[in-house]
Amino acid sequence: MKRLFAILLSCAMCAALLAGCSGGKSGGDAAAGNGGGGSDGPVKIEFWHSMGSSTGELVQEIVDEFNASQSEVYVDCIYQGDYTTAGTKLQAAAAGGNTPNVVQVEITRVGMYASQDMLLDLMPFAENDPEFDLDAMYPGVMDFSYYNDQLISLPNGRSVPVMYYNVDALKAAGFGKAPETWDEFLAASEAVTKDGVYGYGAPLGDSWYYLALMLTAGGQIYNDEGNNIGFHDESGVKPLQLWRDMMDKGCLYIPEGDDYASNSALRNAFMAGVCAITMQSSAQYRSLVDNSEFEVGVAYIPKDVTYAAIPGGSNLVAFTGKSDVENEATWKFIKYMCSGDVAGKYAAGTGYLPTSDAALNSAVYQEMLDKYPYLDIAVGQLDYYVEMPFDEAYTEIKDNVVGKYVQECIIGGMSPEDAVEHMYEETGKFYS
Amino acid sequence: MRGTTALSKTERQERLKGYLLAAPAVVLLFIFTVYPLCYLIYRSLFGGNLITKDPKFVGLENYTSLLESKDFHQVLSNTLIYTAVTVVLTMVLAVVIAAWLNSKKNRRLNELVQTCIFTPHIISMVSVSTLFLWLMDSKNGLLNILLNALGFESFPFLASPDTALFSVALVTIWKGLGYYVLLIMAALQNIPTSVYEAAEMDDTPALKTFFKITLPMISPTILFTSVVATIASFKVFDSISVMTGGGPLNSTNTLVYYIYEYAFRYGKPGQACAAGVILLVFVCVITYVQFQVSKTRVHYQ
Repeated sequence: MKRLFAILLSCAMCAALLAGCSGGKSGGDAAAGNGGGGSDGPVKIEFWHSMGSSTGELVQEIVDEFNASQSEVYVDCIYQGDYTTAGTKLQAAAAGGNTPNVVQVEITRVGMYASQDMLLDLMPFAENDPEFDLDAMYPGVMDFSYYNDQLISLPNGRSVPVMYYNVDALKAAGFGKAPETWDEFLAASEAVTKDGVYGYGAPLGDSWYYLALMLTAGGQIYNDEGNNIGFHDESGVKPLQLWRDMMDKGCLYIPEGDDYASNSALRNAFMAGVCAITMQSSAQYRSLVDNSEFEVGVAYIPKDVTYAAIPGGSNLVAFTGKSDVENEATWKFIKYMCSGDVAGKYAAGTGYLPTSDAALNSAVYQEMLDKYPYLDIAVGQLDYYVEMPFDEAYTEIKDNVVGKYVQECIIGGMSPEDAVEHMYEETGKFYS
Repeated sequence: MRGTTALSKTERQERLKGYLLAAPAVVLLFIFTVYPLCYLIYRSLFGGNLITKDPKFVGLENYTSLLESKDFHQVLSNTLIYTAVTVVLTMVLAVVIAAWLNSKKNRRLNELVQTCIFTPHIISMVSVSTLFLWLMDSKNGLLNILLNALGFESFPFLASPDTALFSVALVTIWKGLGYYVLLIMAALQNIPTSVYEAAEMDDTPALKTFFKITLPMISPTILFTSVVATIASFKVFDSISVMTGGGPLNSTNTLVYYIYEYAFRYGKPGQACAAGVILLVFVCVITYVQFQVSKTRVHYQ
């Protein structure tokens, strides 16, 4: 009976793979068939996104407005869970040849689909559309848009990590302004720490913040050859040492949970006043300000030797294998999402980067900027944007190598030097 | 050829009918069990990700990289420890509680306790996990507030690699206990009272009655429930996914979660399938051992 169970269990996990491999060829045609009959109604296209809670409502509102604004295209807007969950579903869908038309894909995962020729080249649409000006987009956010001379994605919810701090708590501890350097950062974290309140909260489940600090210590994500980490030196050790120092002084708050769960736990702790300083995506700005009872300050990630910003967030991609009618509709929708007013509205409601001057100068964005003066913090960081390559192994390296040894060092007690050494050795194996 | 084995027409029809009737089950078994099993083994020999069109043949590379990986060793030992802890604790607690509830005293109280113990079984594991994620928060969780109020030190629960696996097991035990208590109580009620009456007449001490009469009489049910509990703990997934994501420091990563992560998150279905084959071997061996042991220990009426 248990043997049977084991077989069943293995089958269950295999079923998805199976469905994928056998259905690969027919999927495209079927999808094309659905949209073909557009003569007696709007063309229906499917849009997947990863925005939960209030941001998700904003996405839905924007899509509803698009649907109401014209009668040719109807967009079905579907929430598929956070980037990791949505990435899982999209891979399964892609394997089954059953992809949606437009997807908000986390930037480091774009390359995977591009390398399999699954993404629609948007260049012909962009070039032939007089209403769309590709050059108006900020060059900084176009880093994940070109692949083999094809335009495979356009920026949508792009963000950088920023530092959030509890202005009231820092003031009470004698810090009238945001810490700018690591020394000030450490001093402020120490000063605000008292019973039940921690200075700084770091989500160890998400190595984005370790990498962000590493960049300000002068490191790079990949080395110049692109075959190993670019922080196999002091720059990789220093952030770990900083966190260790904070832990020794009792001012480091570590939220529980993994991946995006640790981030939401951390935001809850910050809003509850449990930790006074934290780092989160710039996209959390509106939500943190609106839900905290104290004044929320925002600043750049403090610098050790330089300011730096690690790219994050998502781009819009379209999948191949659909009919021309659907592709036209898809382009119409992507163009709408990238237009100044819509991108401006999206940025204004969240803290994501406005992706062009038109978005930055849109009425809705400027109006919100008056109310939320730090809304454009990420825009200034565009100057410090670092580039990241398209790399399939990145997800595994980020979680299973970098993330693992950050935890080994902070929770497990491994020395920072050893931790970075291990990261170097294990990352090397991916490229040998 | 007309030999001695030749069948009459009616007999042949009879046999054909048999095959026809068995066909649906056989076909389903082939499609959903045998074929996927073969495909699992076949796919474990290839590289590539889920969407690669022509995955590369890599031979046993997926297996060697698994067997060399320290993380995977930890995953295996986590799975075994988790299974041992949940099955043993669940069984012991279930038998003790069932025996207590089955006694004829305090009928009101017993009914209440029975309801309370059984209720968690019908709640979805995801809700239970989310709830315990809050309860077990190492700094502001209700459980630690209670511990502190009683004068104990805070317990790290899910925050420390030393206690996280145990904490997840605790949730599983809490949720599953009621179901097993119910099954064992049913077995207890099936024990003929005459056996107990005989023991009473001999003035057998209560403990001795329990070990010499009660336990042997319910041993088939204990075998069944321990098999079911072992199965359940091998396939633990939702609580891990919700509560820890395999962390901290890989300390709660179990086989099925590992398979899921490699297949879907890191895009390495080959390696995931190899881990699936290893899971299969594991479960086969443990099942075999369990049934061998039970042959000598289980008493059927």
